[in-house]
Amino acid sequence: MVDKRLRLMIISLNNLRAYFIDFLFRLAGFPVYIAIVYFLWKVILENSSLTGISLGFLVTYYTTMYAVRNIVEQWEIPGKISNDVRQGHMVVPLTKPISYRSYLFWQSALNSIFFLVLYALILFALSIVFHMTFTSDPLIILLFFISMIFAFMMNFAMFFTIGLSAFWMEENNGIVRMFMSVTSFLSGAWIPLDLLSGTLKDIALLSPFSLTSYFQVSILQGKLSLEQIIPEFALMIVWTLIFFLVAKFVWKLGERRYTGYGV
Amino acid sequence: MNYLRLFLRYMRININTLLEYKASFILGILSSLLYIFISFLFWGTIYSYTKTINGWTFGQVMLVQGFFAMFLAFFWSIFHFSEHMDKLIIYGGLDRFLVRPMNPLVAYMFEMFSVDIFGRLFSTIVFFWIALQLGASMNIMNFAAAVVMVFLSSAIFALILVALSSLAFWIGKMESVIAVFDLVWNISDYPITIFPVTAQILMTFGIPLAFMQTYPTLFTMQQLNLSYFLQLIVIEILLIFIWLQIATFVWNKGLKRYSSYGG
Repeated sequence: MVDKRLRLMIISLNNLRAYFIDFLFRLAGFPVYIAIVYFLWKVILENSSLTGISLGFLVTYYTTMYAVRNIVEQWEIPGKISNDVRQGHMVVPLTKPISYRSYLFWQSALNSIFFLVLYALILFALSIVFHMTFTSDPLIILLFFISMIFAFMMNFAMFFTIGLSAFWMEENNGIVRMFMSVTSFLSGAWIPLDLLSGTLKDIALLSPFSLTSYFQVSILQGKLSLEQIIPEFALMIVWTLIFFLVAKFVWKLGERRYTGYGV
Repeated sequence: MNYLRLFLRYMRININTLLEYKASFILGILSSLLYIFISFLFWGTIYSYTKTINGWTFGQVMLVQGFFAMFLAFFWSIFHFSEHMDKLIIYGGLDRFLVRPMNPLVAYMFEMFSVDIFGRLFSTIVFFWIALQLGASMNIMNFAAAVVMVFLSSAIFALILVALSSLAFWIGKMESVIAVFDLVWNISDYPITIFPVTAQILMTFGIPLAFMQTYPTLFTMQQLNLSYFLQLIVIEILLIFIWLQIATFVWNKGLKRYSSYGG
């Protein structure tokens, strides 16, 4: 079994190598994004009543958020599942000696490990050049990396489940877009959750989506103590289990509906 | 005339498809509403800390969102083909267009054309309604002219994507095309005048973002005079001409390299 997973990961790595230029194009978006954040918040902070928050902090926040989301988010999975269902390609993975979910999981895992190493190096370089402040506590850094594994798993299970909607509807773009809008906002990608007000802030912080990237960014920025991290960690493990159980259940329902070519 | 007849036939097929996937249409509308709501929450939070951002009020920023939603409606309904051309090239889908007695690019464009433009324009209307409620001013005659500007910008953007996607003939997968789209999406929320002059020039002559939202908004609010607006339209037409030459050149060169399945 380990051998099959390893092979899948090697295939993913070869894909990355084969499409290296494409990968470089994608990476080019990173500095542009940071520039947008810098200029927008510079203007806002110059004219606002916001106190106790610096431009440096916000730039570090959005830079880390961008990196974390690129590592753990699995936005291409619903489209892939939808494509496999609609065009009858689902038959091929179903005949492989590994479950469809594991097949997608291990393929995505290699990509995420690759981006984790890459963005860790980029963030390290940025922290030196632009004096971005991250935690220096080795234990907290270790917890950050472990939390990234769970964030990846949670994201995978969520996007996999949403992708399975393709079993019931021919075109699932709408539902995927709805899901992505909500999760990106509640995970703090649009605005730091601390800046939200009242009930909205409570909803965002209580939702499991804040544990998929906002939590990780907060750990790395050194905003959370060990005492604050531990309970959130426990919650993250529980949510991961719940999302995987839901994914398994929905897959079983969908599999019963599926009829591929010649099946 | 043949092209017109063919276009009308594709339209009929498109309408039938739309009627077939009613759930998808409704979900599309719902996802647009959700996106508007989240965008409103984001800007509402920002404007709770400041009255204006470089002179832009909350209502005016909602107008910017409305024009960008209009750009998306035009782009996704008419020029959607340009976003997926790389897949057509690398997975051999181009074969069936090459054997048809018409330009393969035009045939693919017709096939990908979506009559769902009215559904997509829905979010534009909602954004404009919000903008008016928040006190933004709109001149109807200027607005009509601004629509032309937005339409031309969607044509420029499509031609850029055609040129980029056609690189797939040489380098395979071009998901970077989607990355370009993501980049535009990231910047689209903000009026370009909050960025430095160099960036504004890039967003006018490079990726024509200024034509998609900021210039149409300024003209609709009567903050641009007619002669300046007409100069901008001329620039757009020039950009269309330039990008048409580039896209046609890359496409034709690439087509010579293309070898279909089975040679």
